[in-house]
Amino acid sequence: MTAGAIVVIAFALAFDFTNGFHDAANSIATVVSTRVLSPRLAVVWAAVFNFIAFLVFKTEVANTIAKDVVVQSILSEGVIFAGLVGAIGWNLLTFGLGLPTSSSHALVGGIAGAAIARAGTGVLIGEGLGKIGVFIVLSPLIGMALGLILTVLMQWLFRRVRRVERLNRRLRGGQLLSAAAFSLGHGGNDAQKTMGIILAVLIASGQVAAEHDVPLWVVLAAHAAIGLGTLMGGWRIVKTMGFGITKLQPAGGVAAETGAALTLFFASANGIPVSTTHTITGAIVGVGASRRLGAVRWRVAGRVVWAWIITIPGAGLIAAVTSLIVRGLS
Amino acid sequence: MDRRVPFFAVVSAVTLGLVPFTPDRFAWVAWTVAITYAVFSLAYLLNYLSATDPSERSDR
Repeated sequence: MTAGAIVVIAFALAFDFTNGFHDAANSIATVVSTRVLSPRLAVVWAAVFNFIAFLVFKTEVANTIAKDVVVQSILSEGVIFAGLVGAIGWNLLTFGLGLPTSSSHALVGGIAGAAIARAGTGVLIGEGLGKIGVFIVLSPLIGMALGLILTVLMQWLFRRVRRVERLNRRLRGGQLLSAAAFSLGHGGNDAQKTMGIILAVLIASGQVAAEHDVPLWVVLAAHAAIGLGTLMGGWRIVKTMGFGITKLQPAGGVAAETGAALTLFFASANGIPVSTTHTITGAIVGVGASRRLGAVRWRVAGRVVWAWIITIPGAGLIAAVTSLIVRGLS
Repeated sequence: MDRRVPFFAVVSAVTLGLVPFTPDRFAWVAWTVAITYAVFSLAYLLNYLSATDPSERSDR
């Protein structure tokens, strides 16, 4: 394997690690805030399910990233490196600005931007990008619908319960399960994006054939990186996600996490890379909307919509500039 | 008026607008989401209208 390929793979795994680090909050916000688990135990819980997701999901999302965004002949190590720099650079920039952008969208924008800078828009695969683009909008809307439906269903199921304290205690087990399901979906969808990048590098450097599936060591490395990132993420960024959009009660937490998990399961099974952050955001909005629309902090939700619009062109622009610099240097 | 009525109607319309751009294999997903939000909108409208006492009709 070439030194260039090793560097790009290391970059991809670092990207995966930061994804876990940043998204740990999504998985554990409700179990920690309702004291079902301590922060330390909660991150271990989420990291374990991030890792074992490889036992549940195949590698359709990885194949979409590696083979359905741009034509494979353009995916050199330099282009993939520039795409990763675009995604990481955009994430750092928007993290500084406090915009809730999606690493997944940044990755797709980065790869597309780097490839366009090399060979023009003809290298883009319309069908693959169309699928990704439509589900950028659909996945939070599916999460929102499921969050609302599950909340209404739970309100109906527990309508005779008079003691809220007792109900909350009964939901502790449910919260553990829903957090595990969301972590499983998060690991399944997000780790596969890194697998897709590594698969593309391996194909570009001639290590595996174009029709080859993702090697097992890549699957394990990607899941280990996201799991370790979650483990290091900790509690400090939990509060923004759990309570930034609407105030969550235990039942709402179960509904939001289950709704988001079901969305992620569907996306992963069908090879659709979606934003786990935006999906759980949609589900939390759905839970809030079951009470009243005023319960939703629309300013936060509005920032997510802005993030939708600007992430792909923003990351693509950084990647395109990087791609041109890399070509100039090589 | 319950604000969820127009909100879910708009979300339904936006989703319906995505149908032509959705790959055929997933068109049913966009249709299902659009119909679901239309049902939400209708359900909240009926709920609002069925409040017999006008004072029970809150602007949520």
